[in-house]
Amino acid sequence: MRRSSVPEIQFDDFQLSNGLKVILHSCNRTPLVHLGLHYRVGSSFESRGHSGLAHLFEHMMFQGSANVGKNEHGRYIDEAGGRWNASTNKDRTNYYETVPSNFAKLAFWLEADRMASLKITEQSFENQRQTVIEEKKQSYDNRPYGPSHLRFDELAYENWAYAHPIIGSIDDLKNAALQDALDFHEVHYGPGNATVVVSGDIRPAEISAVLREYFEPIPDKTNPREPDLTEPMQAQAKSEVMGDPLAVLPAVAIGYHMPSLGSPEYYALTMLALILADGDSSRFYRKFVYQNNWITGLFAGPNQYKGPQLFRVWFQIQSEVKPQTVVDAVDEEVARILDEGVTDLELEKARNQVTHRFVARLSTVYQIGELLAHYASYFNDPGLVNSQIDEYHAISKEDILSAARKFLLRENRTLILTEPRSSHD
Amino acid sequence: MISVPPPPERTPEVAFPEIPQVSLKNGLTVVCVEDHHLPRVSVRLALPVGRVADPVESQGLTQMVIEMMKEGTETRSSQEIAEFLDQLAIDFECDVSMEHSVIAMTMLSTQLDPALVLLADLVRNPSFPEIEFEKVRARWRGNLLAQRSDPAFLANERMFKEIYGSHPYSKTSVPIDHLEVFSCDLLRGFFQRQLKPGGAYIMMAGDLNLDQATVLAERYFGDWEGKEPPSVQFPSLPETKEHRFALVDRPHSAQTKILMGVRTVPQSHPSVFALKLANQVLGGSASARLFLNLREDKGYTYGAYSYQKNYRQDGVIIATANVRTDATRFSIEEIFSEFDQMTSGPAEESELARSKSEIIGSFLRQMETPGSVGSLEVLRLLMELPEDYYKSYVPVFRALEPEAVRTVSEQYIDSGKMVTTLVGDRNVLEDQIRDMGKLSIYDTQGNQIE
Repeated sequence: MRRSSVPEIQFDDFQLSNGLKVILHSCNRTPLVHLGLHYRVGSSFESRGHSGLAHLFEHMMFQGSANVGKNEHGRYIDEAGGRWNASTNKDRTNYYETVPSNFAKLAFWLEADRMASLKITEQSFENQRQTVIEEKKQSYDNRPYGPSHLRFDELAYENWAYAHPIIGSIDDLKNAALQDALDFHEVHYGPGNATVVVSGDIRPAEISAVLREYFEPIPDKTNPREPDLTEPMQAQAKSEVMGDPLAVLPAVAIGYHMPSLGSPEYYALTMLALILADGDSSRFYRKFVYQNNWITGLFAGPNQYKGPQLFRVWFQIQSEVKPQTVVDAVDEEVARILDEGVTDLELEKARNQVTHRFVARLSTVYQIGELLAHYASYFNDPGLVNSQIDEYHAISKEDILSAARKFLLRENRTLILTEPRSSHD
Repeated sequence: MISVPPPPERTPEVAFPEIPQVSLKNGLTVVCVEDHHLPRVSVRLALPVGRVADPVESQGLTQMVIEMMKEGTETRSSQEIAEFLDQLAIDFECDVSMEHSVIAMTMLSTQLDPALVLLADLVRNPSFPEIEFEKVRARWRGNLLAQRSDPAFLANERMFKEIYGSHPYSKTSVPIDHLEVFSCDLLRGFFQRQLKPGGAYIMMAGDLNLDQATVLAERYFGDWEGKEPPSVQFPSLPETKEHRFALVDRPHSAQTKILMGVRTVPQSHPSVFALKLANQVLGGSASARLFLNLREDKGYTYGAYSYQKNYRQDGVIIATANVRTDATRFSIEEIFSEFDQMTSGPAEESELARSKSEIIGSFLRQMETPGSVGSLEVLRLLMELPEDYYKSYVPVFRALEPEAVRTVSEQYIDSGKMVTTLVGDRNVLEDQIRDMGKLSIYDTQGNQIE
């Protein structure tokens, strides 16, 4: 399976006079248009005492702007038969609308209105604070392994920027004020700090005129402070045991520090993750699930942060198995990799899987739009949508061996064992 | 900024494509969606056998049989099958639902032929090796245990048990002790009786045409024999007489998971469209009544929605939310009152128009990939819905009047026959709900404790 089986995505990209980056991709198969807006701000931009603000702010973007009332943003899109949502991660915040193409202008108008202004009240702020607190409970506090998931980055990262959770601490959420949200908009939400992607049933010349009409009048007042993401070398293994009264089975989470997204080691270790844990023939699955029935759930791979990353391994352990047995076996498997590397057959398999994945993610205008936006906001290079597959295919057995030898080391490792018991036991 | 929203342009047509079908002599029907946009093909083998076919004492049998297919055939070992799938980058998954099962593969079109060779082998010649069976059974034990920590699973399991009693529709989970009844002989016998080409469909969607699909299906499945298995004889449906409550005690819960549901109509019932629209008004989106009330007004929850499920003999509408523990009672009252509002008055014109757009928009998005178009068509065939079902889908919704929505709500959403299931910490919940109605209490293992 060669790289040539992946179709090329055509796109135009340019910048408006106010700094807004624009990417257009035309595909007229279905009368749908996807508008994706990525702001270069995430939880890593927060300052101490304000954890969770980037995400809470994302909620406030649906609470009203100069010409759009509380909850009207979603209602307009729903009335059009579209789909919308938003998400905040450590490095960026994205908003999107996928609409029938006759409503494309509506989506532009709505996004432009809330880029230019925010009209929110104490009451709507309080309402969303409550909503986010319930979101934290639903997503973490009421789920098995939720608290240890939040704890993991805190333990692994020394630098607070990535160490603290996106959802924030309850104390910080309770202390957040309406003015914080207004200031956040002022500093981070403007054309100079954003990328807009339009993909789907469009005529690029026409749509760029419309984009200019809506977005060009917005002055850029953003003034973000670039977070320092530098992470010191870890010199000593870290580990913790946590009790979790909601868990039924023990689980182990592991993370090895590794370089940023897009580094040569990133590609090498992504290929290694496929070889270790993707599919029933992968090394970890074969040994831990198939041969020994030690574990039930399994994941391995980079955590996909833009800056310093972790190579994560996670597994859930059968109740009659000692977690240490599995941890020792992971060490053995990793030692085997460091010693012998991977085989030709394994590398070919990983390449085939990458090729299929690159094709599969081009199925909808939503997928293509968000991919272009991702490459633009993380790499400043939307063209990677076509060329990134070459980076993966260029990875050799030697590249994998040398990346593994550099990073999959005991002293570079963080480990949390979660046991099914109350933390007070 | 421009202060008013720009008007829409001309509404695009939403046309469901013609999907050619060819029936093979053995009763297997080939369904093909030709679309060369990507060099990829999605294959789904759909069988008219689902959870309802599981024997009472060995629930999960259908799923176990289907999962065991990739653990060995007469000529391939489990390891060889795993290598084959991963080497050719074939995504493989199986899904056993209430009334049918799907074995699905997606691959680059260059791998279609070998993928079908493997699929045919898995489906026609599984060998159910003892050693692999013991491994799968051990994995299931762990998964079934872990599942009992998930509030969504517990609430859903309890809801279907409360609504359907001993009716086969109550079978949404596998009791862990049923695994002891399973054996390779049991799997083999069930396989030989139930999994046949008769009444089955093979969908191939993507980078191929009908001729290719037919030739391939004929080549690999043409001499597969067997008539459609007898359909399940359903007993009569149990009646809920009064609104009742079932609490699953999950100590240390940080929230309460609420489901409130009531029986409606089968998938083939003419009111199913109006009910879908009613559901959309009630809780189908973040602009619907439940969300605006419980989240945007009260701040009790991160989200409140409703959904409906329709089967051959019956259907349900269910409202759901994860709420602040101390607001559990208020939330139940609000959801209950939203159900009542559906029956007491017609929907506003504007919310009806929005709800219709949401349904039509979602349908339009499903037109985007050949795999999802083909899946819709296979679902229609399995449910024996009319041939013009998708052609008339949009016009039928557009024509529905506010009064029709109120009428079906009044007829089928009987809040007096509602079941409420709650998953949370009994210690902090029981006092809040004790006097709301008849209450039974269960532990997370499904045992009734009160």
